[in-house]
Order: sequence, then C-alpha cells, then structure tokens
Amino acid sequence: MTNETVHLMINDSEVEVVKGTTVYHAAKKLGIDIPIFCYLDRLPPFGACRMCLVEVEKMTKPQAACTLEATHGMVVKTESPLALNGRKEMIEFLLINHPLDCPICDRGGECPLQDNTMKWGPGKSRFYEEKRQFKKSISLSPLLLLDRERCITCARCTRFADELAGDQALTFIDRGYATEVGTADGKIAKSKFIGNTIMICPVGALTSQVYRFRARPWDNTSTETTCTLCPVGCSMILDSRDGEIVRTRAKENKECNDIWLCDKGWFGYEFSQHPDRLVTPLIRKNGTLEKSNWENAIGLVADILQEVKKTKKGAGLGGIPLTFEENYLFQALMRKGVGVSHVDYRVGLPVISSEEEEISPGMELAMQDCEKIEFALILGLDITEEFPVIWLRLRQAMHRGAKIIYVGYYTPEIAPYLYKMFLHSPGEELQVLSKVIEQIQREEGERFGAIFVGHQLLANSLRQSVLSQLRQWKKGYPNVSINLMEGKGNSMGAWIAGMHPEYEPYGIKTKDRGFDANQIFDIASKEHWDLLYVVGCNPAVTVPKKKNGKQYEKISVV
Amino acid sequence: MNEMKILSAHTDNPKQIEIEEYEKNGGYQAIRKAIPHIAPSHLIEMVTNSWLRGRGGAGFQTGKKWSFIPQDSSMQKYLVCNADESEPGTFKDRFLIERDPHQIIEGIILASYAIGAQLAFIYCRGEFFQGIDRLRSAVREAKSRGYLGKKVLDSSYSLEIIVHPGAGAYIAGDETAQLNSLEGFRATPRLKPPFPAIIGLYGKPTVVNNVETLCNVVHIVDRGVEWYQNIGKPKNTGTKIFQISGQIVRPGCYEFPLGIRLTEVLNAAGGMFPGRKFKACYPGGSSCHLLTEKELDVSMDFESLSAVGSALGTASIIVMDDESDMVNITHRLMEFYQNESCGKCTPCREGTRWVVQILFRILQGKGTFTDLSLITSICTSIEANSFCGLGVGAAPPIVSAVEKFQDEFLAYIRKNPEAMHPPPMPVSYPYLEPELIEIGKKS
Amino acid sequence: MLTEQTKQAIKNLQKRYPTKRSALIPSLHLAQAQIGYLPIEAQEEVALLFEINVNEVHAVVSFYDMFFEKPGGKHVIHVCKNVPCMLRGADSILEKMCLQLKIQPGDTTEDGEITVIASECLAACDRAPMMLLDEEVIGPVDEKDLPSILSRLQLKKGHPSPVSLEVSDE
Repeated sequence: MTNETVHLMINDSEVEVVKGTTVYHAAKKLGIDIPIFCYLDRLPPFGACRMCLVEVEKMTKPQAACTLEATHGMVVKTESPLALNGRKEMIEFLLINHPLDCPICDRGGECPLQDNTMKWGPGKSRFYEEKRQFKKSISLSPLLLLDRERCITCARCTRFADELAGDQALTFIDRGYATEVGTADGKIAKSKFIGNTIMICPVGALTSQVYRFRARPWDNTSTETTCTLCPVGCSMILDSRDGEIVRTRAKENKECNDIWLCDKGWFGYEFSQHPDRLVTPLIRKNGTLEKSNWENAIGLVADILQEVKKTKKGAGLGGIPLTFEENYLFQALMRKGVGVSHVDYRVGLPVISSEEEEISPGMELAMQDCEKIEFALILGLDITEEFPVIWLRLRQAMHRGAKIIYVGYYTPEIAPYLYKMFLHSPGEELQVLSKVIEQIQREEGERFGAIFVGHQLLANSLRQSVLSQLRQWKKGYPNVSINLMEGKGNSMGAWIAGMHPEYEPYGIKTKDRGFDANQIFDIASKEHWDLLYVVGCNPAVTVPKKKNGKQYEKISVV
Repeated sequence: MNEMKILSAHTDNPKQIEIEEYEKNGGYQAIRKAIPHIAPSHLIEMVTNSWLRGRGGAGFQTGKKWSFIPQDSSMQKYLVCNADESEPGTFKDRFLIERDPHQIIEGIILASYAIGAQLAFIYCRGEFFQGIDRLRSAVREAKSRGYLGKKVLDSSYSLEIIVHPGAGAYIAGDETAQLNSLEGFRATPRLKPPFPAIIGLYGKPTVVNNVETLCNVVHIVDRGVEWYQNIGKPKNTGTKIFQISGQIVRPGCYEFPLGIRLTEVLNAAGGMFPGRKFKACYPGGSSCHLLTEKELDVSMDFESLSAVGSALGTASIIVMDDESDMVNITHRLMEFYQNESCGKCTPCREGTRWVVQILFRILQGKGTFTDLSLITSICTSIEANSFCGLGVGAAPPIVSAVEKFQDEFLAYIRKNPEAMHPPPMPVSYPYLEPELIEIGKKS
Repeated sequence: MLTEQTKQAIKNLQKRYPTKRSALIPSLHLAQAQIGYLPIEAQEEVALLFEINVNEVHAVVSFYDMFFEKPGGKHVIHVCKNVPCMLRGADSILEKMCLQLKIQPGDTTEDGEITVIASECLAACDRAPMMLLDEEVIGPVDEKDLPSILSRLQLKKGHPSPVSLEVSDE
C-alpha cells in the first residue's frame, strides 16, 4: 500500500487522495455522491451498470467513476452535460425492460432505482415496444423471493455469493437481455447469508418472503439493537409496525459485523410473535400453572426473595439472552438484595473454575482486525454455523492472501476455500493438533495469525491440554491470537456483568465465592433449597439432572 | 494488382496440413533461425520494427504489445492464440487453421519464445470441428519433431501448446472475455486496467494474438524485417488476407498487400453479379461504418479507412448490391449483436434489443418518423458507454446505414398510415393470469 | 449418468491445465458428446468432479450456445442466417428446410433425429449460403440440394463434439 497521494479537480474543487483511489471515492471525499448500482464498496469495482458516468477532460467518452483510478492532475466534472446525459441514458436503458411494479414492489420507498430515476432520469419514455417477460415471484427458498423482471443484472448478489459468502447460492443464467439470476434448475438457494442479498439488491428483484407486503418503509418505527442469536452480536435495526416486528436490517458497525447479518439475524425475529411465547405471568396453584397479572407475580416473587434473604438457600441462573444491564441488575438483586453469591450464566455451557481456566474467555483479536490476518487456524469449529459473520470478515482477509487451515471432525461448508484441512476422529485431537502447530510454525512463523478454537476442543476434558499447547505457541510467536469461540448469545456480556459465582462485575474477583451452575444443581437436588431463580435459559432442556425441592420458576419475558 | 500470396502460398495444397509437406515448402525454418540464436528481446524489437499490426480487428502494433510483458524470466507467462473467429463476414482464420495449421503453430512458438511463455493456448472456436482436429494433429506432429516439449530444438526453451475449444460465444473473441472463458467461467470481459500484459490468464502476464498476426510473425523472422517493411505502406506493412462475401461473383480469401484499393479487391473477386450495381459494403467485418460507391477508391489500410470514418478491422468485406434491403440487413445485424451480447453492461444489453425491436417494427410497416433519430441516439449511447468492444462495434453499422440510406428506411416507414404519431405503448399485465384478464375485459 | 470412460477422460483433461477449472468447458463437451445434451444430473456430476457448486456449472452451460440443456436431435443442422449468407439466399433455404422437416427453427423433428438451428456467422461466408451438418461444413447450398443433404446427414454418426474421448494423448 503506497502512501503516495494525487491531486485532482472534481467540479472545480481540488481534492487529495491516496494513489489507487477511484474517482468515485475521491468525489465522496468532497461530499459529491455519484449515483451507482453495481458498485458495492466491500467488493472490487465491477463497472457493469455504467450509471456512475462522469466527464473527464481529455477523454472523449464518459468514464465510469467507480472503476477509474484517479490520476494526478485529472479534471473531472460530475454534472456536466455529457455526464448528465450519460446518466439519463443509462436510467432510460434500465427502465425500458423494468416492469411497472412500484405499487406492489416491496422496495418502493427505499429503492435506489426510484431515487436515481427521480434525480437523473429522462422523465418521459421513448420506449414503445414490448418489455421482456420472465416468470415473476419465483420462490428460491422459504425466505427468498426472486422477481426476474425487476432484475437489472448489476451482479451484486452473484458477486456477494461468490466472493464474500463463498457459497455461490445465486448465479447468472443465460446471456444478453435474457440474463436472469437464479440457481441450477430452480433449486433452493442454499446459503446462510441470503438475507444480505436482499439488502444489497438495488431493486426489488430479491425480496424477503417473510416481509412481503407487510409494510412500506415509512410505516415502520426503527429501533437500533444488537442481535442475541449468536455470540458475535451484530448491530441491527428492528423495524416494527403497530407493535409487531416486521423485519430486521443490518446496522453498519465496522468494529463488529461491518454491514452484514447472517440469516439468523435477518429472519430469526419471528419468535417474538410466536403463539407459544409467554406474555402474561403464570403462577402455579394446586399443581397447575394459572394466568395471573404482573402485580401479583412481582409481589409473590418479592415475598419469596425476602424469605430467601434469611435462609440464603437460593440461586440465580441464566443471562444469555439478556442485555448487559439486565444481567447486572440480576446479579445485583441476588448479591446485594438477597445476599447470595450463587449466580451463574453457564447453563448448558462448560463450567470451568477460574483456577483451571488459564486464558481469558472470548476473542483476543478485534473483529475488524479479522480482515487483516495473514493466516487462520480453525480448530473444531463450524464457523458458518456458529459465528457466521466472522466468516464474512475472514473472506476479506482471504482476498488479501490469507490462508485458512482447518482441523476438525467433519468437513465444514467452507472446505473449498481451505488451504489445508485435517480431519480426524474424536480421540486423536491432541496428536493432530501438535502436528498441525508444528507445520504452521514452520510455514507461517512470525506472521499475523489467529487461532479460532471451537467447542469440539473446548467442551470436553481436552480443554486444558489444548489451551496449554496454544499458550506455549503464543509465547514463542506473539503475533498469533488465541480466540475461544464458545458461548451463546450474550455470554460474554453476562460474564462481564457479573453473572458468575467467582467474578463481580467488570471481572473483579469476588471474595464471597458462590456455587457455580453444576454445583447449584447438585446441591439443589440433594438438599432442600428455597429458590432457583431462572432467567432466560431452560435448565430442563439443557441440564440433564433431576431437580428436587421447592422451586419457584419465573421465566422472564425478554 | 495480383494477389501476393505469402500466408496463403500453399493453402491450395491439400497435403500442406502434414508436417512433411509443410517443411518441404520451407516451413519450420523461422524457428531454427530464432531459437536460440535470436534473443527474445531482439525478436520483440524485430517485430516492432516491422510495424506488424494486429490482424484481429484492433490493429494494435504487435511488437509493442509484446514489449508490455515484464522482462522478469522467473514469472510465469502465457500466450493465447485467438482463433475464436465469429465476426460476420470473417473466415480467414478458418481458412488458415484448416489449410495451413503448421504455420500457426510456428507463429505461436516464435511469439511464446519472444515473450518467455512456456505454455500457450489456442482458443479455437467450438464450431471449427475439423479445424480443432487439424490443430491437434499439427501440435502432435510438431512435438514429435522436437519443435515443442521440454527442449525445443534441443535448446533450454520449453513450450507446450494446449488446443482449447470454445463453446459458441462471439464475445469470447474479446481479449479479456477470452481469458475468463479459458479459466472456465462465463465469457464476460474484465476491467482494464489492469491490462492482460500485467495481470492476465490466472493473474499472470498474458499476450493474446490473432491467428493471422502470428502467421505473419513466421515470415518476418524467416525473410527479414526489411523485406516485410517493403510490402504495403508505411505503418501499414505486410499483406492482409481480404475476405469478400455477400453479393459478389467469387466470394473467398484474397491476399494483398495493405494499401490496395477497394475496387481492386472487388475486381479480383469477380466483381458484381451481371446486371447488378454496387450499393454499399462493410469493409472490416460488420462492426464498422459502411462505405458507399463514393468510397470505392479508398486505400485498404488502417489509417485511410479511419480517415473516411470506417475501419479496416478484419478486412472482411461484405458486399451489398442494389437489390439488397438495407433495413433487413441492419435488423439482421443488430439481432446478431443482441444475441451475442454478454449482458454485463446496461447499454449493450438493453440497447441492442431495443434497436432490434424498433427495426422489426419498421420492417412490419409500423415505423414512425421519430424512429430514425431514436435509433441513432440509442446507438450513439451504446457506442459511448459500453464496457467492451462489442458495444462499440454494434453501433457503427446501424448508424451509417440509417444515415446513408435514409430513403430506404423512410420508404418502409411511409407504409405506416400512423407514421406521424408515436406508436401506442403496449401495456403488459405480467402479474395477472390470462383468465383473469379475460374476466376483467368482460366486466 | 457419466460413464467411467468419460469421467476418466475429464480427470485427464484436468491434469493438463494449470488450474482444474480451466478444463470445465472441454469436459462439458465430453459429457454432452456422451449423453447428447447436459441434463441437470450430468451438470451435478461434473460439479462434483470439479469440486465446485452446481450453480457455477449451470451458469457456464447456460451461457454458451453449443451446450444444450434439453434433449435435441441426434443430428444438428446449423443454418447460418447472418448477413453474408442472407444476402445469398439463406432465408429461403432455412424456410424450405424447416418446411420439409415440418418444424420451426430451433426445434427437433418428431422422430428425434434432426434439430435445425438458425445460427449466427459460422465463418464460412465464402461458401454462403452455408450449413453445418453435424461437424461438416457444406456450401453453397441450393434448394435442389436439400433432399441429398438430408440423406447424407443420416449416414453420419451424430452428436458432434469438438472434444472426443481420445484427448488423453498429447
């Protein structure tokens, strides 16, 4: 990457940019927004739609700003008659075969084609022929709907599927004016990231089946939030209408998910309207759960907590789907309010005491730095299943030449992109690992790398040996980061908020150590305990132990 | 002027496809002179000085193209011989491939040696079944004589040639689209820069040369740069195989030095049919402006044709006489560009189909007086804004025909009683089933 | 669907090129030569041999003119309809041929023997109006020649392909 800069003139203003910058980005630096369709700044420039035409002195034809490299002394005009005429013609070309679907198209109101037509379009059609016809509303999966007539073949979805997601879920079929987007033989578009193509499609060709005909963008109230469905915690925006969540959108967060969500984030919000979801509190009377109201329920719980304050036989479990603030309050309620330290979020997760654990949990590497690594070792982790958006960031690193090495029980979905793959049966983990570490140390040496360790090596007795091997490696090669990829939802947040028997909030070790999740269940099944306050987890499902004793369960509504 | 048969010296000999005959007639002498006695950089200099220009249509100086390849000998480089001949009216490459394949092999060996490539591909059109067979046999024969393989002519230079079939796409004749097709993808063109000489096939420096260009290299090396420079005109050296087709007595390949006049070529091909007059011709394949009888005296070389607003291209002359229908011809030509468009960029994909639809409407007798300016405007837009050369080539034949033969178009348009008004816009109901439309009409 | 012979020939092709994927188009020619067309099952098998997604194979197959996804006739007649041939009467030749075979251009005869395709320029304009009978170029064609052309076609083996199983040499 050179630090040389070039000076150029755009619309009579001078701008200085790094060598290699395109005219489009140079104009953006000056606040000039050149219209685009096929350009996506997370993908290399493509130059297909020809919408970003500008006039450049000494070049007779209009040039595409998104592909043209800015050179020293270039004079660019983005609003000259030549440029404006070029844009008008391009909109005209795009509209001649575009169906008049705006009234029934989900994209209406947030459609770049509509916006650009209003700004740069001809205003009157010269097209008196038959528009080309395709089959409309093709279901490419239970979530994705394709309308081929609306497609402007900008290739954003096919390039995303090929270069970023790596699953080639959508490709082009045929050529020329008959080009369509689709899958071989109309089969289901298999991808874990298909929701992103709906976001990047500049027209209403790819739409969400779940959101179809639900709302116009101006009907929605938007709330910014974080996704809780996996530990990555992507930033997203919830759009709701009349108190019901109608869709989610990705929020740009360069430090976490960039501009992406995985399909869990895109389509996983429907549980909030599920009929099985509890919306009123239930209190067990005479053996059956009966509906009650919030006043009664909260009063009852308060009474119980006062009792437990005296006996100290109570514990608080859970916290994965809760926010940081809710976790903090929960542990504060138990520790300060009730006076017990028996709080733990690790229901259904491996419970390791702080003496045994030698490495801090979570990722050592900042997520945005995942794009800069030079090699990655993925140990026993199916990354697209458990931490999907991190795979998208690793793909960016791969485009810069990074190599991915995988060790695990079964072939992962990302197999075609692996530099090396070591499959083994359960039991051979340690041998394979030491061999692989040796090889990598030989080949990569001091390079900037990341190790992602998953549950295949962490959720069992091998944990200590594996982690000590990795710590040895890191001692000799400090450029390598060890990232423990485990947990669900907000487990990191629960830990930092203090939902841990050994740690108070912010990782401060407590002097009054409580029982951890396994110990709580042990004791509660043997002795008679007064309270098991379970929030946001389901021990009946995740913990295979019988529980005796008086139990009052209140499952909080998120 | 008589034909100057250099490339086509032995194409009438059916045994020329065999290596023994080819060598008997002086073949494989050029590679003996070059490898390893002439340094690759000197070979590039020779070809540059000879002023050989690409015969595939662009006319870019071949030696200059070779010189863009980095000199670093540790880099892997490739040579691709472009034998994907699909331009309407062009058949010289089939002519050379099927009648003198060894000439092409020799040219490839020389060009690969000059740029330092150890692997060369011949991207041959899939429909050239016999041609591909003959090229494969020629490669086998050349290898058996030590002209290909690990030690070419017992030197340290090694070269393998792979004959790669295309699968039916005109766009695969475009340089970067051909590289994409060779790599096993759809033949859509790539962004330039980076140019193939720096990042080409598999990301390595690559040169793509036309079949005829490579054949010329053989003779430049064999008989010398000075001899070659004396043929033709300054900056337009050497011979060209002119192909004449259409309404002419003897269509075929005729080899003349560059600079011959158009009438001379037409006469060599027997002239017009008895009783018919010359109306127009496309001098360089179909992707150029047409020439009328006013330009019959033009010199057939790159500069002179550009000066009259056309282009030499592949020197494929499609002749049209006074009984031809210009409207039908332009419709048929634009249909070709519409079918062969790859669909990547908006103007070519949408614009070619639009023009075909307008021309069809005119042919049906439903044209209007605004149609001609509309066609010109669309074509100008396609030419100015397209991503690759297909779009740039689609516009000139139509624009020039509409301009120079406006009366023929107007005659068709006048058949329409409604020609003064724009035609009615058809309304399509794609989201209603046919039965519902019927119900809707009744109620 | 692909025979072991075809699969082995494809594997040999893959070894010849610097990248495996470059052998895709020749391999598809081989598969089509064996089956007669490229149904989705064949495309899936090719995708497995190249370790790529079947969508990618389908994208390539649908792009190029020489690959057929629906079964066609044993013999294929390409009649050129581009300008140099049109100027010498190709339109009426095509019309008469289709009339004789009782089909439209692009369709196959009822007995599944012959497919007629109105194709773009086949680079044989010196023999205009020309036809490609399977792998053989014939021209200039006159209306009178049509019956003899059709009988000549029956003697050919059909399923023309630029790549044959004997490519593993060289």
